Amino acid sequence: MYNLFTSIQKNLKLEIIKKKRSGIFTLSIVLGAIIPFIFFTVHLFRYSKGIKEGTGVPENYYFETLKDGLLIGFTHFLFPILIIICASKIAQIDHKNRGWSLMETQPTTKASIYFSKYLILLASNCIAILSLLLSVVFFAFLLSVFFEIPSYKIVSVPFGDFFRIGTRLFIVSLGVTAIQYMLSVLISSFIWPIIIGFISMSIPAILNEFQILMNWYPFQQLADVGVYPKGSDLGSNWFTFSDALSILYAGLFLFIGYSWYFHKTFVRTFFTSVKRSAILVGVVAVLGGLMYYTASPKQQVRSDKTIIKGITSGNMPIKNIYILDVLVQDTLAKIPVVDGEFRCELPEGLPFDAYFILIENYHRQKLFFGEKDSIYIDFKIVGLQKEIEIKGTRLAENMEAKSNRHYSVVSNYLKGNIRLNDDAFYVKRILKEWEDQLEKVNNIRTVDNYIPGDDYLARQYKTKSLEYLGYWNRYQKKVKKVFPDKIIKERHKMEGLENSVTFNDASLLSSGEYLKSALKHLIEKDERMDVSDSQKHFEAIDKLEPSLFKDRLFFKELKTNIVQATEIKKRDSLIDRYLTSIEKKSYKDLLLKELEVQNRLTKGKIAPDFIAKDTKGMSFSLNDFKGKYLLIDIWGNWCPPCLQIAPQFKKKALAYKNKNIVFAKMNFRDNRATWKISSKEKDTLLLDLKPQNENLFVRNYNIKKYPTFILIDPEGKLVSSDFIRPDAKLFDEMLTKYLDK
Amino acid sequence: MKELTIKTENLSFFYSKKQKILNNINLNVPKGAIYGFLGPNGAGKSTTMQLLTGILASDEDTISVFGKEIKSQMPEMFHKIGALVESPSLYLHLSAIDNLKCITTLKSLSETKIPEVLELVGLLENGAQKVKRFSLGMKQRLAIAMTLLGDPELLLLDEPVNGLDPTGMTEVRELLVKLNREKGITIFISSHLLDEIQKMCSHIGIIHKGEMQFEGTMEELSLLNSNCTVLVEIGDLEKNLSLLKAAYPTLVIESEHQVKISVPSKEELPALSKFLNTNNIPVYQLRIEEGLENWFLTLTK
Repeated sequence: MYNLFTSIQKNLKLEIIKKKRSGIFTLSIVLGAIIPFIFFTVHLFRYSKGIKEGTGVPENYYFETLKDGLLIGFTHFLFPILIIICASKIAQIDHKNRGWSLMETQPTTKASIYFSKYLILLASNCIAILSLLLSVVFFAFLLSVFFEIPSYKIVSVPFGDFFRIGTRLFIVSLGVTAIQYMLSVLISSFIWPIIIGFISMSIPAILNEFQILMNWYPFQQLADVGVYPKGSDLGSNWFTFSDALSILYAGLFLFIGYSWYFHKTFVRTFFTSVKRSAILVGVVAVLGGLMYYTASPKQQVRSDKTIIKGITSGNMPIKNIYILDVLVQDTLAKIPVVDGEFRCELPEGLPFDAYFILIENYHRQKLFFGEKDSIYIDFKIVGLQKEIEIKGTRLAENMEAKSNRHYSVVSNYLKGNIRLNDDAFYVKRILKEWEDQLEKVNNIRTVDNYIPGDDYLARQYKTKSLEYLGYWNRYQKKVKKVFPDKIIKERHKMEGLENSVTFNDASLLSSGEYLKSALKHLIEKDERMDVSDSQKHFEAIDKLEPSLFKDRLFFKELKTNIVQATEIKKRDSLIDRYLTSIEKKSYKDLLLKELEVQNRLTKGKIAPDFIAKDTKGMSFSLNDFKGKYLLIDIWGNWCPPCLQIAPQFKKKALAYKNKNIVFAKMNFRDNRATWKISSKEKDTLLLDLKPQNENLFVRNYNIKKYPTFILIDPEGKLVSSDFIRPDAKLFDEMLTKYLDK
Repeated sequence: MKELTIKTENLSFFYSKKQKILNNINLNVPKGAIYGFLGPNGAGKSTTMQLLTGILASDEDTISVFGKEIKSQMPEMFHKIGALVESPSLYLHLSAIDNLKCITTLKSLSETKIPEVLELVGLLENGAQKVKRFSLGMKQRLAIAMTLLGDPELLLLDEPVNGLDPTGMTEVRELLVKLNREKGITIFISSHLLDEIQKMCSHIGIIHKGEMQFEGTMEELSLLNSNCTVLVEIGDLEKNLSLLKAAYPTLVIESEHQVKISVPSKEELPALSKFLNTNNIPVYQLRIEEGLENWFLTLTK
């Protein structure tokens, strides 16, 4: 047996002599460094006025620089181009000079001839990757010398992350390199392999437009690293299915390429001998099977318990995390955070649905999960900057938040009443957009090639269908109004869409759109003119067969009406009439509680007392404001909308300086230091308060959102526990109405 | 029987069943021979060359070199073989020395051998020059120099004089004869020019349309080709014509001073020469005109 290792060593030396003046490694260095260089020059000009200081979640300066923009250009464009060109170049050295036959008549094997060139290409890939990473560090460092980098950025070279990303880039390059190299060896022209390479490289971008996703496609694996620089979602995994696919591609195409090269023609290679045909079939079957298995999307395996856990970090105090039912807003769990960690096991039987995770009042995150799911949350907050990462057994389902909202052309046409008489256009367009959206749902993939569970898919199909069914119904209604005699010709084409949504799915009621449509659907045939919609809703819901669906509808409708009602009498009569129709006890309890709170906070009721201190430690209670109206702004430094509205509040305070009213700010959830710093300016217009017992205050006044404005009259009675915002147009009108009384 | 350096037994090759490129080729190249492998373009010479060197892999074990089947001695075999299969296989962007370094690397030889072979082919002065700037003759000589590295026992040369001018051809020819004589290297040359082969080969094989037409020593070839036509240039043709015609009735007048005479075989030539001498006919030139060439042409038509 000839020693392959020494033989390859000799051939490598040979290739290094031969590649003189071919510029192969130089090209790798240049293509690797070019994007960081452009980045540097652009920022040199952009930062010439200085970088905005700010605070944020700590992040590595170098890694962020690489991740934000630099990497995509490399993986989607320059790296594939480098591979294509270098493969062609290295094969051309021998095509042009008839070097193949020269080498083949030397004491070396064809295998070492073929594979040593491939190794040179891999070396060229390595050089390009190193060049990219080093130049990112170099140019980013240069920038940090010229300009001050915001203090929250961590300025140390992230060797671990860079090594990992470099390794992944290298591995995903194996497959494409093997394919391009094979083409370049088999096709003796210089330009054709390059043209074929460029075309194959741009195919995914083109097909993406048509919602065709090709996870298996060789160039896609390079792109994957660019899109997901952080790699696998599955904690301990370094590599993803892209890396595995790339290795399989490399194996397959090195085998085909080498055999083809060995026997010179394809027919001779694989079809003149039974043994060789059998080997081909065997290798293609085994590798192809593995590739099919790797590339076909998987659904995640559920765990055996329902667990919500995670960590929190940052500079804001987080004591509890809440899990809420989206529809009922019922707290399913309150999880204490101890030393930045939390863990909770939810009871069995939790249906798959959308839930809210509430991290104190800093962040509310919609999450999809159900029974036997394990969800891991990593929450970081520094001042107003926050970051949340969701991992666990529902990766694909919870990815949606990251993707952009879609843009519907047909809804814009409808809004503008454009081409209403062109029914063919609307039918075609609605169907097309609907199908595109369904395809988009089908195309949801995580970095590890996981697709959402069937429960989520079914739900998404329904919500997407619902949206387009809504457009379709709106169109029909408009047409009926504008062109009463018009017959929509292709109505039958919409049957599929019309039948795709059924109004009996309890879990979907957490989607606002579905709830609205379900209610609308219920009273569709009720044509009474003198009855309000909500009355119709109640009657229709009451007629439904007992089910969770019915309970949830009832709950939602009752709650909305209780909150909206201004009189205790109205609320009580609603509860009297319909509460018994609800079967679920927890819903009944929640409604009764809501009734109690709403009634207690009804206009004219005595406002709950409180004790609050200002920044100097002076204590105030509700009694201190007797004889004057009191407008309270419930706020916190962590809440951007609160900060946004603060100047308005102050302006109003100035405007009403001489009226019989006190403007008070009431701070929540900030630590004392932050609060004091934020109000250091001497302010006589506004009282700057912080309640002694914040939780009690929140409970008493039923505070659900920040900012909230509470107006109390001179007798200490509530005017409103949710008064109009000071930036609203009606604010002055409403306020003067009371003040002038 | 003499030791055979190359031997093939019923060597056949085809890309598809219908189109046979080589059919039962039997080559017997004795050690120390200069073997001319002759055939018109497309006869299968290059394919044979590629099979002998294993560039094309043969499915059957029908080729042996140095007395052993080639597959079993791949690729060490090439330590003892210098091959020039497609001429010229040179890296044009490299210098002559770098080209030779490619070979020393693959054959694990010391680089000190490089000046030696350069000198042998007369390119010592041009070692650092890029091959791109070489003339065709220089390229051809460099290609031969590359085959000479490592003191091969066998040279396989595919059309080594193709495209050279007459001086170049002579240079290469002389070089090869010298190598054969001084170092005892067996040389296997393919060519489509009979003229070239004739001048230096000891053995010859003729191939046409994938089949062997002849194989043997030059002498055997001449014997086979017994009928021999000679061009004779003599003084005073008119005076001697009748005399000649009487002796050689097949005589044909070519020009004022030249006649063509056919004799049954080469061995008759001394007799012709003697006849001319004894009759005091002044001879200015006596040249075998056709014969082998003629036969080769009819063979390959």
